[in-house]
Amino acid sequence: MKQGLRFGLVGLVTALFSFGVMAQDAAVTVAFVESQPTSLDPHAGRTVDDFLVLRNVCEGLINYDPTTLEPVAALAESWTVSEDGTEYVFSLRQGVMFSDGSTLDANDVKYSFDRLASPVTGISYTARLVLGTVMGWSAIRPAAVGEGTPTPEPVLSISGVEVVDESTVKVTLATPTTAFLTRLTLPGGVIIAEGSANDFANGPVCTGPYAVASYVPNDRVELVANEAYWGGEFDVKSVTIRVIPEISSQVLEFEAGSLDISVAPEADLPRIKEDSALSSQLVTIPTLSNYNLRMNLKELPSGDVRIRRALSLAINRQLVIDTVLQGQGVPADGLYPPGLSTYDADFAPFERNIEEAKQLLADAGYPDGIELIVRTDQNETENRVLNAISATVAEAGINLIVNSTEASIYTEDRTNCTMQFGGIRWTMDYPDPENMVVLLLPNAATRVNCGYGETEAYPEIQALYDQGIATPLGEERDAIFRQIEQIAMENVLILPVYHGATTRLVSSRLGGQPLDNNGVARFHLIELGN
Amino acid sequence: MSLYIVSRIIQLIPTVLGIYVITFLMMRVLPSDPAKFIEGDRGDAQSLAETRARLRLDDPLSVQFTTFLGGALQGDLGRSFIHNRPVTTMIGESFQPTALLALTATIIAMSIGIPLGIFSAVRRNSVWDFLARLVALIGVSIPVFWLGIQLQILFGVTLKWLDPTGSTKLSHLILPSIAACFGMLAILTRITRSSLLEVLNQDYIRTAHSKGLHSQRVFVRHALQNALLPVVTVWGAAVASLLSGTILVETIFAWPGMGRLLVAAIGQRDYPLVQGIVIAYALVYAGLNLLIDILYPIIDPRIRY
Repeated sequence: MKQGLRFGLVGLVTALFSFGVMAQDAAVTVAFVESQPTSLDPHAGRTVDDFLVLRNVCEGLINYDPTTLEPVAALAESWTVSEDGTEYVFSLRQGVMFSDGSTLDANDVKYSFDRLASPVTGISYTARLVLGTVMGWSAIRPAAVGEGTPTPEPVLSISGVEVVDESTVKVTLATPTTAFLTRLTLPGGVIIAEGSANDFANGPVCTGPYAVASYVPNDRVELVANEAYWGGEFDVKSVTIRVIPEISSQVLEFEAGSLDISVAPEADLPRIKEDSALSSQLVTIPTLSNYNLRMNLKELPSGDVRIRRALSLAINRQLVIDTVLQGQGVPADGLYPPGLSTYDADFAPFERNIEEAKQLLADAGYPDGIELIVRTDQNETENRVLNAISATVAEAGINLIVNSTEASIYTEDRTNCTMQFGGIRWTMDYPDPENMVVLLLPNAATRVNCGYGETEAYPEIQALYDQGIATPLGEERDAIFRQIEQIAMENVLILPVYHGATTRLVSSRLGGQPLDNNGVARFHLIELGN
Repeated sequence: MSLYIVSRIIQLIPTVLGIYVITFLMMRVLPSDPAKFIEGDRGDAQSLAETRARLRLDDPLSVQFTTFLGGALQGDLGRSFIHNRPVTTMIGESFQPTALLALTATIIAMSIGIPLGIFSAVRRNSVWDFLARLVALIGVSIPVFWLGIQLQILFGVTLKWLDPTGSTKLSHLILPSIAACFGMLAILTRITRSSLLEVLNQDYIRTAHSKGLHSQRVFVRHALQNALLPVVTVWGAAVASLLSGTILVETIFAWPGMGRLLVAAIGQRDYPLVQGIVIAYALVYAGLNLLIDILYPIIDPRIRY
């Protein structure tokens, strides 16, 4: 207690003298989206909040365009791709400085990719997405690790990434990967200064428009403009990103005028829309996402395609969107969200049809209706969505029971597939249709256990996927991915519900593009008027 | 007395050890795997194996148990699974705000609750007594999250006197400590009132009055001092529960405290962080109880060790 008292008194005194800096014109205060970053290490970061910091502090060879989301030159000024699509030669931008004053060269790129490739340091799931098809990856990360394997020793070099000269890097892929440039835009693909990796308590040493000035875990991250930034001047010189885990408190802070960007939860939307001052600051950005249900394909009743189809046909998707989601989102009838080149607004395999649903149930041996269970975690929106779905499918004689448990218990059961149906909030890692198709592939433990590798349709899907990822961008590639969608929906391998949207309250004093079309706040794109 | 304190401190060892054993086992009994939680929907067999190996979840339970214990004895509580930072650092960072909030709430609760209880007992059955009891009843009944949000709306949004959340200015302490102190204030009022009423009916008070002592002296020396003993007991329990019970307050007001950290850690199956925080709480509780036991003989000379 004595210790506690002393801590308390020290805190009291510190608090007395540390009155916050008054809001300046060039300063912006926002809040983390979910709760707080888990790590400021780019090669370990895996959450939305990690990425919010990384996207503003770091850059990769390639970045995405904030409007079109297409890959654009960042630290690589230009690049060439070999005829067979397996060799990428990147020429680095000249004179780029890290926030510590050192100059970017090819060794920094090599260092960063080696660190991302090594099992102990590259623990972010983005490692596999960025480097998974790069030569040497499978040597570093064995395809399968048996039980009881000792801690993998860090392997320090991935053979597919080579330094050609000071400003040239060559990346060799094991298989041609059309979306490789898009994959490089992931936060795991950013470049940190060689030898700068440490505990990241002060953030990474990167080349982005901002540097981490201070990181108070549990409380806030402060960013300051990186004076050495190569990309030119911008308005916002300092940013405070606060940890406000309770979303309704974020909205109150926004109303009090002390937050410039806040999450706007669906539950608060009716109130926000009625308030003219607030509603004019409401920003909705469609997210490349698909809220869908995964199912156990190995066991009945969810293993029976007729029952899956009956459930899908019985859902009134538009009603769910209009009520629970307050109109934020569009019904999902397939894999791809609007915004992807493979999206087809006319593709509607699941137009609501109660009669057909009943007939399918009768054919499957349930003429008097059926009881199904869908699992979820305690996400408020998802629970409301599922309960609304449950209400709409009752008409077809389906008694859909929503079983919601703590997130880690749901994750456990979903990974083991000890469930019939389970809600999946899938937001795309990068804007390419291949990242939606993975929902059908047995390349994650959960889908292996749910039998995604054992269906009749699987070999064809895998073959098309392998073909699709190597086909150059364009009509042909899109057609392949649309064919996958067709097969998946015929077999109802996932049950799509809606493509969601990001809703934020954005202060009217922020001009420019406070949120990019990926829903990420990129502070150097903000313009502050007079 | 000093012998007593030493023996109490020695008794701490099996207590904390027992708490560690229970926490360790309970976290492992919970039906979910930290590696699966971290890997989420994207984990394949390989990444799950890598994560399990990295977090040393493949070690036999006995090894996991002794590794943590061995480290803890040397002041190293391991690294958080989720944040990959030393647990001792994380506890250090979050204990100070929690202690500051609990201390402030305690001071407010005591400086209002005890006088209110005394006043209420002295003016028993008056309108003032009724009002004080009503305040106490409301204080016990109001859920803290509701009160917290109402305070934010009133002072933060409508009146704009204070920031709804924050932890950088002294004024940021006001709203959360009001929200946090309410329950304790109510309990202290009720205990002070009932305990004082009981004492005021004792024979020795009548004796004191009848031997002609000034009624003020009777009240302060004879009644109040005796009535304070249960108040101290309750106070200790209330401070302890404040330290752990500010979780909701910390969440609503974005206060970077230990309670919020613990709740998140349990949800994420962050074994080292949960174990570390629970041990820290155990030490604080034990320390507070020791402090109260030391205070007893000072308040009441009949108690001797």
